[in-house]
Amino acid sequence: MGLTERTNRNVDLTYWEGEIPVNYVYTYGLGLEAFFRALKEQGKFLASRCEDCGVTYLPARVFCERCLGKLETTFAVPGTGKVYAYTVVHRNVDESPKEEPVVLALVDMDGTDCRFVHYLTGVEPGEVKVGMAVKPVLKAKKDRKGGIEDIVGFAPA
Amino acid sequence: MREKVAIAGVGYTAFTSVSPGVSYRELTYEAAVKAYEEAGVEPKDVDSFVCTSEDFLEGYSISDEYCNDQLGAVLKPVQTIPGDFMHSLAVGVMHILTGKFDIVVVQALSKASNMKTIPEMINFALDPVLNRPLDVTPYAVAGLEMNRFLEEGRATREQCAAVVVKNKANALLNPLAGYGASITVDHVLESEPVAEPVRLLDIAPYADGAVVMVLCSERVAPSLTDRPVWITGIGWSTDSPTLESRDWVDAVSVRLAGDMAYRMAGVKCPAKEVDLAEVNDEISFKELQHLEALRLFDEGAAGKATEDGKTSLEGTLPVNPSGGGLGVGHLFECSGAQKVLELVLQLRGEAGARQVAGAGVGVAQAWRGIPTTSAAVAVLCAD
Repeated sequence: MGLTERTNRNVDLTYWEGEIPVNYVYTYGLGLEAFFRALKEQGKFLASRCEDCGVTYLPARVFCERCLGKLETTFAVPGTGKVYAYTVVHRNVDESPKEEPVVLALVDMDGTDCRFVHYLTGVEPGEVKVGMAVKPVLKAKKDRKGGIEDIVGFAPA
Repeated sequence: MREKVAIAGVGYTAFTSVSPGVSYRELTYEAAVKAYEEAGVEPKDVDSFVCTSEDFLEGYSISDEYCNDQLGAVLKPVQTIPGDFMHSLAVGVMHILTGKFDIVVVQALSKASNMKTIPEMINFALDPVLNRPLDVTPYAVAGLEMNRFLEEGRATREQCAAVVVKNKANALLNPLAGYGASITVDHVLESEPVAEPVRLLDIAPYADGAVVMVLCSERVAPSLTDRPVWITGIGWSTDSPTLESRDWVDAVSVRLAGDMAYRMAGVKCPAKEVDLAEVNDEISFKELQHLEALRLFDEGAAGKATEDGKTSLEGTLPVNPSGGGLGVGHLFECSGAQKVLELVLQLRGEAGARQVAGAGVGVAQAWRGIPTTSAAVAVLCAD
């Protein structure tokens, strides 16, 4: 057993270029449906809480990931928060360079035990500080479609 | 007496930036033949095969179906784990510990150079509704985590860079490693920013390679090898998949996987009992975070220890003597295999110029990579 011959000239190398076109529709489910409906129609951030574990989830969910208990009620939280971490991003998802670097933040959301990943707007990369208070910037109601892009980003409060 | 499983043979290719001369199947074939040769077995002697494969990384929607022929596992008991090699290793160990299997083969492969759209593929691992639409490199997830790690005072930026310097230097002594280099902390700090604080040299570059191991029960080990390396403990764990609710400072799943492995191996005080470690360093700071999660250093102490040379080849606890992901290359689901392989070579005293003196107990740790929270840990002993 074993490879007794190998390709040893680059000009002899050949390959087949394959492609897997895959497309999906991701249904939101009960928790995210409620969250994005409230965001789109009322500009509100809906959370849900597991009293047994003492954990408040944002976006709202229908079960607790710790105890698997059912989360019965949703309620609005302010949508404000504090910068927990940030990164100055220089590349797009395909690794092409961004024309201008963008600041992505992990925002510790007030009144919850969760953090949101989104852009920071209205602040220069050099001015961002961990702990900075931020508020959400939403698209105008007529432009909101019920998705994460309804949030433009978070800006200094 | 504690139950343990022997690694009776290892087979591997070199870990290279590209591997155009062979197909992904032939990479595994090359490793498999070497492993069988070393253990003195043939595929017909093997009771069970465990492969490691992720559909999008292999380019098949049923990649598990394409794992067996290059191992000689056609029409044999075979199963495939979508995770790291070390998750497959855990399955192999469990097979043997049932007492129903004596010889089990475990495999993993990386043919990263076949993939045209790796960052997009990693991005597909993020939540499609909440995270994917943001159109940033998936390394931004590591950028956020590293920023918080530094903010918590767990390490300095320079200490993270020292990890890169050490690992790339170790890789210069490893003939299997694809990315050895002699660089300085400043090279890292001045390299291209990707998702600051993460810079280009903080990131383990992609590599190709394959590893196959022959595991066997204690009962048959003497007939297969006179230099067994023993797996005495193994554990695994996964934190929440959602970016919104997971821990962003500590590698909690690594802590839990490590504790599970230590418990099985009877390791009471890892920092005192472990001689060397191969841990995941896909991004420089992860090595420090993982070392602390594995209880090999106190919280916040791994960076200083690195700077002080304690984790170098001559240090009190050499870490990633192989060069790690930063020096060997990021092997995706084969990453943990490269780590276990290094421990096998070290514990046998066959690591050549990078041999760690007095290597008796080693810990290997795998993380499934950005943006996951899956970890696996194994404790290996020479006798």
